[in-house]
Amino acid sequence: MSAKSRPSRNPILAIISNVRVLQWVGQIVFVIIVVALFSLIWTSIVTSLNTKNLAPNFDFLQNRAGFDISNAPDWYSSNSDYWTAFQVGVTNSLRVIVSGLVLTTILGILMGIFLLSSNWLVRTISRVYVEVLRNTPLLVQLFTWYFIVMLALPSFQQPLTFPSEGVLPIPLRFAIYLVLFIFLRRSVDHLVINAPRRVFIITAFYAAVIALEGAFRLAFTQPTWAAYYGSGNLLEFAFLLYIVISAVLLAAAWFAPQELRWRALGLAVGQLIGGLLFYFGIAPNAALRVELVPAVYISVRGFVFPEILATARLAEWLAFVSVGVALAIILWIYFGRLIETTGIQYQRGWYCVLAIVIFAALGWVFATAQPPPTVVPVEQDGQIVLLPLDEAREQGLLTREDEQLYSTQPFLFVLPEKRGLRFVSGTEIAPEYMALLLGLTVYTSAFIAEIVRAGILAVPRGQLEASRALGLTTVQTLRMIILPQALRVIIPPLGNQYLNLSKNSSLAIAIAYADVVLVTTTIMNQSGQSVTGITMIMIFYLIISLLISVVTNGFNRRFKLVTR
Amino acid sequence: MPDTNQVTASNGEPIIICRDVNKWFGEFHVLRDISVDVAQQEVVVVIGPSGSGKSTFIRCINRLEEHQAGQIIVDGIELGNDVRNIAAIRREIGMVFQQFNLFPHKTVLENITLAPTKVRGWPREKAEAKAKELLERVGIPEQAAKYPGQLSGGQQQRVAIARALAMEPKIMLFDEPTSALDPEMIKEVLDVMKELARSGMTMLVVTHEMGFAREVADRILFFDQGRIVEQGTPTYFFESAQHPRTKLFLSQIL
Repeated sequence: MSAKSRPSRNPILAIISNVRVLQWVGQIVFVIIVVALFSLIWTSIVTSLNTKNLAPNFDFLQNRAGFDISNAPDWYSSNSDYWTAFQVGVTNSLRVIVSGLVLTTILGILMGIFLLSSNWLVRTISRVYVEVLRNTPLLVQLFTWYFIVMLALPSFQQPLTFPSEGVLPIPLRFAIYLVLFIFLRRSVDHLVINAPRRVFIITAFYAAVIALEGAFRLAFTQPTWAAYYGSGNLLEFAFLLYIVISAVLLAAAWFAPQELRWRALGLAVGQLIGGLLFYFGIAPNAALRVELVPAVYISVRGFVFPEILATARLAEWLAFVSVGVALAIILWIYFGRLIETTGIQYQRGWYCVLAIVIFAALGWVFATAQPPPTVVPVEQDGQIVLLPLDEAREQGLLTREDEQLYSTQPFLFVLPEKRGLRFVSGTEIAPEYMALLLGLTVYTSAFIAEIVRAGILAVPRGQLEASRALGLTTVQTLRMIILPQALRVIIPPLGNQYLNLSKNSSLAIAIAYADVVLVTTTIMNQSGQSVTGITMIMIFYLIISLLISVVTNGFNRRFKLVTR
Repeated sequence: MPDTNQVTASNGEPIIICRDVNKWFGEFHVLRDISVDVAQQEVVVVIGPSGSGKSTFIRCINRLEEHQAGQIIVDGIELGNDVRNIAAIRREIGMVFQQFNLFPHKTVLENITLAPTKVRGWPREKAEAKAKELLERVGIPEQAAKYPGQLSGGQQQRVAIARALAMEPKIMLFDEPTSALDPEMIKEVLDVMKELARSGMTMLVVTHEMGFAREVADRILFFDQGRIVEQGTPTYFFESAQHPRTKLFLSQIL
């Protein structure tokens, strides 16, 4: 082919058919159209609002709000201004978004790993979980959580409590089981997984425990069984019958197919051991009795949890803990260098945990060692009097602030206490908050589960094989080979799900949770400042979204692969 | 299994012993009664049509695949369900894959030093010195700081060989190491492997490179439908093979 240039005869045609010129002209025309459109909309809004005396401004934010917000913090009342009300909305939204992001990540990763499980049941259950949640609207799920789950909780007068009030017996034989279990595990540790002796010993242990506990359970409810415990009468008909049945079981196990024989024998022998221990009363029946006090109350009015209060001695204790943390960091770096230079794999994580624990314990001892003041000033009948601490406490004259001041513990663990129609202590969580948090968390976790599954599957199988062939352990393979490569695939879509969760939190309005949208729409209705209100909501979500984007992009850059 | 000629081993002691190894993928019987001994310092080349079970066979030796019947004993340790035995055997066996399987998020140097530091517990300095020496040996000392994605296929495969050698294995397994390479890169990889064979490494190589087999192998195993149909020295194999299946295979590729 010969390149034939054909110069244009018309110079103007040459200019307007130049690609670069055309691109420039196109862009300029586009900008002009956009600017014109926006200024048209803006001027028409402003003029129409001006005629109603509602020009957009921010001055109205100092006006009195005049409406109540349920479960508002104590710095808000209906006498506060609009700006404070808006801050309540922002706080409530942030509470849901931050907790939601953390919880949904944990739940999603767990479900994603379950989706890849080799266990059929686990895999199927998590698959159903994901499909059901992914394929129904979030609004419907929120309604379900609120109207069907939360509002069906028991009444405030008869709440669910956890643990329920009463006495919990802990049988002493449980400790024996634990010791025996560890001992047996160690004794078969050197054997191959399917070795007959190992199978037999472990199966027999489980069978004995199950038989023994089953018998105790029956003895607890039925008097005939209670009579058998420790009876030891060799001529009792039921006992003879039991021995015959056990013998038949043993014989059957002996003739079972090769691959089942040792398991079956273990079952037969184990249950016989359990039965005999029960019948001759060798297994101890003694139990520790622990008195239980309700710590969590659940009712239609919400959830009440124990409260943890800082006391005057918290600072001392925290000082010790921070020394421990500093030491842990130093140990971590020091042993890191030692591992590099000597190659010996020190368990540095444990050393660090140990350092922190030791200093926390030391701090606790030191902080609680100083005696409390002998006499404290309290208000009695309108007068300030000095009373010994114990006496003041007995007479109920100490306020919560006094307790925080005079306690010898770094923390006060305050159980919820109900007086009349309200709780005087404990942290209360509204059912609306719980419904929204659960709804958002569970819904988003289904998507995250799929993302995690896809990310792990995206790592080629060859990587796993190469790592195994080199002799790395399963944990090392996961941590050093699979995870870094899976994260590269997981993080971008995960960031999208975080954005979705934070924006979906605006559905709070459907179940009347006072988030930023609900509060701001109320403000808009009262003041008529809709343009300003909407702008404020948009700025709030914009800031949240940008923060999430910045974080995910940062991670993304860190896990990027270097290629040609 | 026809023992048509005596097997020559350069050094008496067998380091790999396989006895009646059988494996099924579901209903499909991949390996049928494989019995082979490999002596120390012996180079065994495994050839055969695709789907004949040759890759599966060498992957059974370091437990990337599980055999369902028979015995595999490597360096005196039997491969069973005990994880400690599996780990001990994997430490002594290096493996090179068709698709290289380098870790793309680690540099060449990190790829090579990872297992010696984490599995063997070497100091970093020692592992890095070893890595540099090996990179020198495979002819790419200047690529240490690069990532696998920045190297050519031939260079990547040579890094993979260096990575396997860094563990100072007693045995090297090669699973079609040149099949994913451009023709002009095959030579550089084969040269490294020839040098390795001369240095006295025990090697099991699955390959389609007949020139390599003829030049380097002490013994050739010919697989078909999960069986070792014929085995012998390269001279015997290429010039006087008896079995009709072997003859057919050779007539098609030579």
